[in-house]
Amino acid sequence: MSTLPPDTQEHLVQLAVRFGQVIRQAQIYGDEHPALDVAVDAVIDHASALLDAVGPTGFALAMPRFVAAGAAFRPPAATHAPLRELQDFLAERGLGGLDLRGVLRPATIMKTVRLLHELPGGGGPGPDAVNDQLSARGLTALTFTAVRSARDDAAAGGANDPALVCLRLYLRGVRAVQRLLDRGPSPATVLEMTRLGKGLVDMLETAPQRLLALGTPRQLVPYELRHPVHMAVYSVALGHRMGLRGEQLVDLAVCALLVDAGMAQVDPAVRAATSTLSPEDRAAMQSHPVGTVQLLLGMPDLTPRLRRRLVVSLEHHLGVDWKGYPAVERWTDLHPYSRIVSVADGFDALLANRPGRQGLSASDALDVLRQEAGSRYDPLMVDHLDSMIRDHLGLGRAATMTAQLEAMGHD
Amino acid sequence: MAQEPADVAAETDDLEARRVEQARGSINRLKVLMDPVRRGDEPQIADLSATFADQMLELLQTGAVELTLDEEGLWMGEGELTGKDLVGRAMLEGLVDEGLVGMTLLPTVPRAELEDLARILAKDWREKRSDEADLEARAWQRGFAHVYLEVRSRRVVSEADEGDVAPEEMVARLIRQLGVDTIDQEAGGALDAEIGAVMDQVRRIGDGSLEEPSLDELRGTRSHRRFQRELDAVRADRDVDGERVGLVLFEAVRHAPSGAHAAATIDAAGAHLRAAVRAGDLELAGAIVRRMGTVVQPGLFPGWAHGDAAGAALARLLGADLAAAVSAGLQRNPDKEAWKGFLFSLGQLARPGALGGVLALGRPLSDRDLIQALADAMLLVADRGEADLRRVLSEAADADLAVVLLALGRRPEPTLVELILAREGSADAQVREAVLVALRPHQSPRIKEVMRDALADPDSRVRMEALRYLTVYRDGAAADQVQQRLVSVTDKQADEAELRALAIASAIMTRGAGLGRLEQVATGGVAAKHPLAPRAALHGLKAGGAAGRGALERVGRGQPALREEIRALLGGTR
Repeated sequence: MSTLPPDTQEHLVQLAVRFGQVIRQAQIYGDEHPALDVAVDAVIDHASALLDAVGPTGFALAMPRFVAAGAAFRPPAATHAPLRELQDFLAERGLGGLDLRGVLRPATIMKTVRLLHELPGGGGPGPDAVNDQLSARGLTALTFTAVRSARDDAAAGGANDPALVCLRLYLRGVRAVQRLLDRGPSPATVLEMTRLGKGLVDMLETAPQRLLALGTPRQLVPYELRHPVHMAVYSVALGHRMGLRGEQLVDLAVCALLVDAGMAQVDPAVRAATSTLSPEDRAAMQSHPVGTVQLLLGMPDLTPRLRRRLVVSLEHHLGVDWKGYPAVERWTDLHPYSRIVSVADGFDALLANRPGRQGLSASDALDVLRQEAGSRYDPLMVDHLDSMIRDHLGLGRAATMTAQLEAMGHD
Repeated sequence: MAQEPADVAAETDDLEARRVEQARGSINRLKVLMDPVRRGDEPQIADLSATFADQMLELLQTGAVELTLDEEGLWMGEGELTGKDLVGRAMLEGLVDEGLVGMTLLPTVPRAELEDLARILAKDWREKRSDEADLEARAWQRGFAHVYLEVRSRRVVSEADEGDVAPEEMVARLIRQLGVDTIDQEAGGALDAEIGAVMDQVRRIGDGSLEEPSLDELRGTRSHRRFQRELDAVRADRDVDGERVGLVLFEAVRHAPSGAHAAATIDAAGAHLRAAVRAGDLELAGAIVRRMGTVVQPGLFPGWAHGDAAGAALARLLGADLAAAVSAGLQRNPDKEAWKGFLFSLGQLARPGALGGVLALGRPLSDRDLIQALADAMLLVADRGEADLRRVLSEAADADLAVVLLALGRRPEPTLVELILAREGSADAQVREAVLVALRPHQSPRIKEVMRDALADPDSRVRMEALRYLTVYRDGAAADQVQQRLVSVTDKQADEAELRALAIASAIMTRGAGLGRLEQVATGGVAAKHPLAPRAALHGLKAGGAAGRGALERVGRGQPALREEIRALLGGTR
């Protein structure tokens, strides 16, 4: 991907604006009206300048971006309206942009514009048919391209590049967790987390492998900021396997993002410790579930969702044998979300460097989960996580661990 | 009369239309604000932002405000708010170009947040300098707690489109554009490689789905059946009942790392308790109270370090705010038994010195049984040795006397009688009634005299309580008065229930000697002013044992109009 010089950008944008102007004026005045001459001349001038500077080139409109020569840029605000109008006009005919292949002449432009006006709207006929007709009329200096697809955007590093979409979602999650730790939960933060949850669920439904890839970064941001995001990723994937859909999955993601909010009440020095924790510091760390409950109680309205978040926050470290923390009297079963979040939490924590121990590889982490299935973790959830991670890495359940699996873990 | 669905729909439409108009007014303020913001005219910005906040706060009184944006306009539902004028279009274009697609303003939003929001929205984002923060970053850095701006990614990666940008630079830009440049990226050589690897990995991954193990595989297993049941409960929002919420609160308080945390947890739980009471949700409210009360039960958690702090916080839950919530909740939930249970459970919360809070809860109550439930709650406190009811009675305000008296009524201590009797002349009928109820366990000539006097009390509840007492203790001295009253009261002075009580009292107090007079009342031999007196007399005869039944049969023979009722009464005695 190259950066276009400002002059080239200017010529490209003006070529498009003027071309759109010709189309509009031809529609109003007819294609032989003298008013068109100025705009047609301008199109020719900018096309010539481009051919001189960069040779045959083209552009596509994906407002507010203008994509040309494998790069994209934002045109000046003043040109947005006419460019959007041109984009709409072309899109109606199945066209997304045009390629300048040779020197333009007034007749070429006018014949092309006339043809465009003759074409039916409603999405057709598309660039191939249009280019064939242009060619049949001996017009080859200007051809049209298709409406840009998500794949094109990805190639140009555009807004729909899945890597950027994923990364943005991930960083929004990190941002929300940071806000949560800085200021505690607020309705706006929870709304942001709900939107994030929806983003994760959408991704799960369209590209589940990409969703799981979001659980892999280890260096990008500190553990306490990335861990809740990873928990949400794994929880959503696990929940889906367990039959949760739509709103329930979003709700589950929000639970996972919130359960560690109580860490905000723990001394940052203790949170950031890398060596083995003293009993006092460990107790402080282990107070975070009740801290989360306390913070969440500050939210208005004890809705079913808030009730669920309170329960999951308190329960996510209890373990299915109820021997975890805090030390509570056993009531009914752990909430199903607690059992899901607990496994997601355990897996991500095992992959990371934590006080007094090094992060494990994914295969070792899964082994640990299996050993603790039935005591700390729900065996059903461990089964699902195990098979899911192996599926994600393209491994059979019984396959020997490969370097790919090993590489997933380790800080 | 119930409203027709069409009327309800029309009212809803009207409200929505009014809301859209109000919202349009607020947006017009923003349009006016654009120019001062561009010029940096701080006094005018402050003035217009405040006006925007005022208008929006008024709109928020009728509910949250949800707005959506697209290139066509700024919308509230189907109402467009920006209009077609150039300023409105400019504002809209700038916001849309920044990727803003929606806004949610919650009713709890404080004024300062709205004023801040006005400044952000009224900026002409089309004129943003290259070194200025994006709208998303700026809004996020403001730290809105009750305003949510939804921004899509269309703008975020545009810088990356400018050319060949390394992944780590892309991340840095994303972080800046998201407004989280306070994130410290962990140092380490692996960082760049990791970002690149993750992005490559994501790009490489296609849209194929993960192998989804069929749930059929698990169907039939116990664990799966259990999970399905649990999921059904989640889907129906039945997964966390009030009892479980109470347990969570209980554990959160008990495991609080400090007294301050324990108190903060209880204070926060108190807001939800009041909300539940206001809504009449006594299942949740009762669970909260019971579990919170358990935390500080003496001896249950010996050595618990935060008991005092928690106890003081629990005492704060009682008082005027909760009383107001009770008052509202009574309108929503008419289930008297549920209220009795809830009011009684409040006794578990009261700690020494908190009885005033319990008493305050009695003020919105008018039903004697509910006041009694609260009085019993107060007894719980006294039974723990944490309150001296005598002192409470001597210090209680008039409005709170009924609760204290009813509590004292549960105590058969003779030394209390004078204290109780001292309140007998109260101008408040509820207090006079409570005095008589409190005297139930006691007998003395003085008390009986008070009861006899009370037979002429202007309040029927007081008269009924006196009748009940005198009947139970078969006070023959009151018989004449009672018999006289049965025939002398008019339909304006007593209802049917009181007439029956008078007739029954007459039979019992006279130990049967009054049956003849009752028979005369029933047959019209003695004229009564109340038209229902003859029928009421039948109930007195029924209370007169075998002699009374014989009298009833005689009345039936002579009074065909009363036969059916007499047959029912006699049937009930067999």
